[in-house]
Amino acid sequence: MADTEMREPTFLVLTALANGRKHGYALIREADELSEGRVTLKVGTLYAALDRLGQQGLVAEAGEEVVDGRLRRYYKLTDDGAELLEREVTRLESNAGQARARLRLRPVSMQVAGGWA
Amino acid sequence: MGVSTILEHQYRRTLRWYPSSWRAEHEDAVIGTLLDVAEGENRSRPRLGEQLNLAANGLLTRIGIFLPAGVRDGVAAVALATGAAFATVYFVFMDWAPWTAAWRATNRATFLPSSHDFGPFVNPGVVLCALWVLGFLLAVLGRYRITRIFMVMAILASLAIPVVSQLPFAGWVSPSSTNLGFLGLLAALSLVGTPPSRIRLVVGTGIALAALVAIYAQNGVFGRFYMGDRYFWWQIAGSTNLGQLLVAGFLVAIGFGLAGRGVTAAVIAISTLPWAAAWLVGVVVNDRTGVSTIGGAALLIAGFVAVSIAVLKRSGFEIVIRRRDDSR
Repeated sequence: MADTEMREPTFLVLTALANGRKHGYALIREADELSEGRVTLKVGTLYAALDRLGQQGLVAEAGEEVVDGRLRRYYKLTDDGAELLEREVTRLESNAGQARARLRLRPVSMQVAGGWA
Repeated sequence: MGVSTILEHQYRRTLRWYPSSWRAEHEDAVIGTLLDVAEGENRSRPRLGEQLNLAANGLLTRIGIFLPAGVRDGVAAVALATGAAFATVYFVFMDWAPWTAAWRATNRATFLPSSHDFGPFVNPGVVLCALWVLGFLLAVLGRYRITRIFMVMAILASLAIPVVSQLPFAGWVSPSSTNLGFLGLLAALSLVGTPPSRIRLVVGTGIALAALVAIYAQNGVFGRFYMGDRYFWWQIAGSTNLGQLLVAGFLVAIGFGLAGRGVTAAVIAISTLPWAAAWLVGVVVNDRTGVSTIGGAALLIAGFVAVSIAVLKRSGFEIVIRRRDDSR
């Protein structure tokens, strides 16, 4: 996974699991909240992502319970998953820092021209 | 039967797109999540988009039993890069070719008296090319879901264009079936996975595009004569050239398989499929005796079997032929 880019749904699922185990519906709601409503995971997409992340050893099943007659299966982040998420966060922070630094160096004349445009 | 029970029944029916082994393990948990989502949205019916999403993921899970995710993603990336490059080159050289416009206008009455151009283009293949290029650009932007919609539309277009072209109001010359089938097959392969890296997708497409442009230019396609939209398959990728390329592809795949690079070997072997289909069509069309067709098909099957055995053996599988024990 190190040489491939992390897609946003994967990033959101891993982030949602970072503070503890969660079941499917909770993951969908958290992804929605974390992305400020931009990403609404469909159930099929979520379980495909969980399947794939499970095969890669990044998430693992973490128990089940039955609530109102419905099975809730919980998932948790593995150590490998946490490490990968940490690396991705560092990469994103580095990119954001570079962008911020370059914006600060933007010539004033361009900012004025942009303001008039 | 209560509303929730009816909804659950409908969801269970939709989940039949998934393989039974997957359903046995996950169905109850997925149903629970689907019902939670429906309840959260105050719905008593499944959404169409939700059902299509489950159907698509179910089919991909079925394919995933035979092909691991890494292979599917690699195949999708190669198909997208190849298709985008081929569609772009086809559009510029075969469908638009403005440098041949004068020659085409003069000679149309002689060669194709009962047909006419598709606006400024030679044929309606431009629609298929546009779907391909837009789908590719969306993939580069990371919008894979919309790319998939464009690829499904490309498959439908490759089937519909020959039919629509024959309708009385149309009267266009359809792109050749080899070009349509080739782009249709590539679109189908692009649906089996998601390219693992957008940068590599762009680089791969650039290389394919440069190679195709160089080959076309070297073969004099920039001349004032229009070569016909089958030119690529007759001249550049004729049966002999393409056959040699396929054999080389199989050998490379076997090499990777024997070196323990099973995923790469499988990606190469599967990615040759559209080329192999085009080659077989060429062999069948030019075959007078049937010998070439049978020989060609045997060669292809032997190639795939060899690659499959190499990949399976390297992946830790054992192929055993044993006498059946009838005493049981």
